[in-house]
Amino acid sequence: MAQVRDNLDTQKHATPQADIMDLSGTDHEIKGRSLWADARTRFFRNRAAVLGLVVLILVALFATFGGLIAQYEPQYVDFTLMGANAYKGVPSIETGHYFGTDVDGRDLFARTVVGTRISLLVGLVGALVAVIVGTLYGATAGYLGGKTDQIMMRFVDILMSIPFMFVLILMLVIFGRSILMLFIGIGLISWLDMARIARGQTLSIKGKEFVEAAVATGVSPLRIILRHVVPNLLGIVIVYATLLVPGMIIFESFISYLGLGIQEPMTSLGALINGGTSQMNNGTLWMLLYPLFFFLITLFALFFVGDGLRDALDPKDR
Amino acid sequence: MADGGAPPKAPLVEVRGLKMHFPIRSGLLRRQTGAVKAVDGVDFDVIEGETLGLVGESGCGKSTCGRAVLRLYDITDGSIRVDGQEIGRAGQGRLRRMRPTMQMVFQDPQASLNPRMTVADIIREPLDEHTKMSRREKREKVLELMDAVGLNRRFAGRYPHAFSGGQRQRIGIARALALNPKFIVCDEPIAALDVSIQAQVVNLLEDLQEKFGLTYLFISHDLSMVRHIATRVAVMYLGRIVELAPREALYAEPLHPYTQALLSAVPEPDPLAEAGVKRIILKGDVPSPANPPKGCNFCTRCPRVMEICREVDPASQEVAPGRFVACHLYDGSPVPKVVAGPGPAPRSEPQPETTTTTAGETAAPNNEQRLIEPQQGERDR
Repeated sequence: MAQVRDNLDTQKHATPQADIMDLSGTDHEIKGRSLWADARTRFFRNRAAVLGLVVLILVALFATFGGLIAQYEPQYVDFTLMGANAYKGVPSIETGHYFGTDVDGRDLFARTVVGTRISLLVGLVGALVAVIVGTLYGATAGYLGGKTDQIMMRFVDILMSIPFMFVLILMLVIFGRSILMLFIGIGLISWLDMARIARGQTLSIKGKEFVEAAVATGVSPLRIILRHVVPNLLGIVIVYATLLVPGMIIFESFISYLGLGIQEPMTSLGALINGGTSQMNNGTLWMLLYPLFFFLITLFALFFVGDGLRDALDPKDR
Repeated sequence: MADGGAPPKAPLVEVRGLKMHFPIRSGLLRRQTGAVKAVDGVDFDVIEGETLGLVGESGCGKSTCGRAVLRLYDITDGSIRVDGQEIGRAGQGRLRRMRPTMQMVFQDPQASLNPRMTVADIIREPLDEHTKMSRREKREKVLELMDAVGLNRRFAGRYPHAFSGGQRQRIGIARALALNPKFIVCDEPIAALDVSIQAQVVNLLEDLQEKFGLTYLFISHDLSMVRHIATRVAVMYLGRIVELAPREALYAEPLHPYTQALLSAVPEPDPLAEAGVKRIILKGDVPSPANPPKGCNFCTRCPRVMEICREVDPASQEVAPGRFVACHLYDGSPVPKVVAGPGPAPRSEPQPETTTTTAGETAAPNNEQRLIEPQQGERDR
């Protein structure tokens, strides 16, 4: 590389056009650094973001493989602890209840693993639906413009004006409380904001000359959206998606807190925190603190990663 | 380059009555309350192999005109024939198949390249859309194009942000050339470039024209650059073409008062000659294209305005072979009645091509002369 650089320098002085002219045949092709590669470098230079990412990975590992370490099934009720939770169900390594037991005498460690898994899943599903549906919908509306845009975005406005919490609660009551119903509910809401953001961003990208160049080249609208608009949207979309995940987790927790979300014997962090708060006065604070800890570090990690991504994918054009 | 007296060939591009009005909407119901008449009835031909320069001040509709000719806009009215095919009313689907004949080089090389694609991807995109070449053939073609525009083959995997403005413009030119087009609209291809790079890019455009037999519509506000590259020059003012003439004739003897004023603003490099140049300073601002004046568009600022100018819109007339002027000064007479401004006294010879260099024209670049250092642009602002 150094030799090539030398070569380049000497030629540059010889003729001013050297750097644009073919200099040494086709030795090897220079691998270009994409904007994504640049962003990755910037991201990994951000300590808080990297820490957030590490925590997130650890939490994900905990949610996936924690069940292997647990000494008890999450559904197993230890009847000997009934009424004696406050002194027999305390977190301890000897009994195998690492995080203690919940009010029904179930192992809190196993249940936290399950709860974290569900909460992360809810967040991911919400973000995924938002990214895929929201981005494509918004980009299409923004790119096509005119009446199509008006109709598509008014439809979003109408959906947004419906109090979704209310609709979701109704849905859960009518169709029964199931994880699937919860996912459908969250999927229905999550893409709306994303569609608006994607549309707004598309409007500014649409005016760029490279889109005009693609039109002049004769590229079809669908390919322009997929090849020129969406890749340039992704930066902002990814950032927004990482900030959306915590929102979804909180949303699910709230539903579960109301007692409408995840149903026994399944659980989520929100349901566990709910259970913990109801026992706060009985001297069993661990029932609240362990799920709360996982809830908080997950959210914080996501926020830090989102922040880091926003800095790394700085929308400032280069 | 072909000179002004080239034998007349069939026009590759024929534009008749081109109108591009952008609606102004206001009120609650977004009803159309007016229109910005960016291009308002423009006629011109571009003959195969020539470069038609399109000049005018900022906001006169040059770029809109260029884009409308390529049907990047849905035009309001008029007919455009490119290579014998009428595209004025063609739907975007049919247009897409005809795109290979006509291409565009954009003003801002930074904005006209997708920052997320490599150079090879950018140049290959037209091939992906319009040809059935294999991967290897496309790759070979991309590298050939990079050679043709003077880009190092090894940079194919790089992204646009790693290049300088001039190099980016070369990428844009390579992309425009990918489908072997006949007609290329160059929309101020040099305006965003450093002066020293402008000459390189213009020379490249000329070389490519010779090599591939291209026809250019060269839009610019840089009068010296247009004088260098164009075969014929059209001058636009407020959405109309006020004068269209072979280059030599136009620069030697501008007929329309606006052209005279425009050319008198070109700086004279020779200080002795500079003292003798009389600048025509136009008063007032360009009227809004949303509300052009009655009669001639230029009547509000014309130093030689007459009564009729405020009433009747002058039609474009051929006052000498190949010279079109839209001005009442030349009504009913093929020979200019009065000529003032920087041009010489009225001349008798009707053939503008035979014009020899006159006193005001000492700085005229030779036909063969390479433009080493172009004079500064933006002088018409």
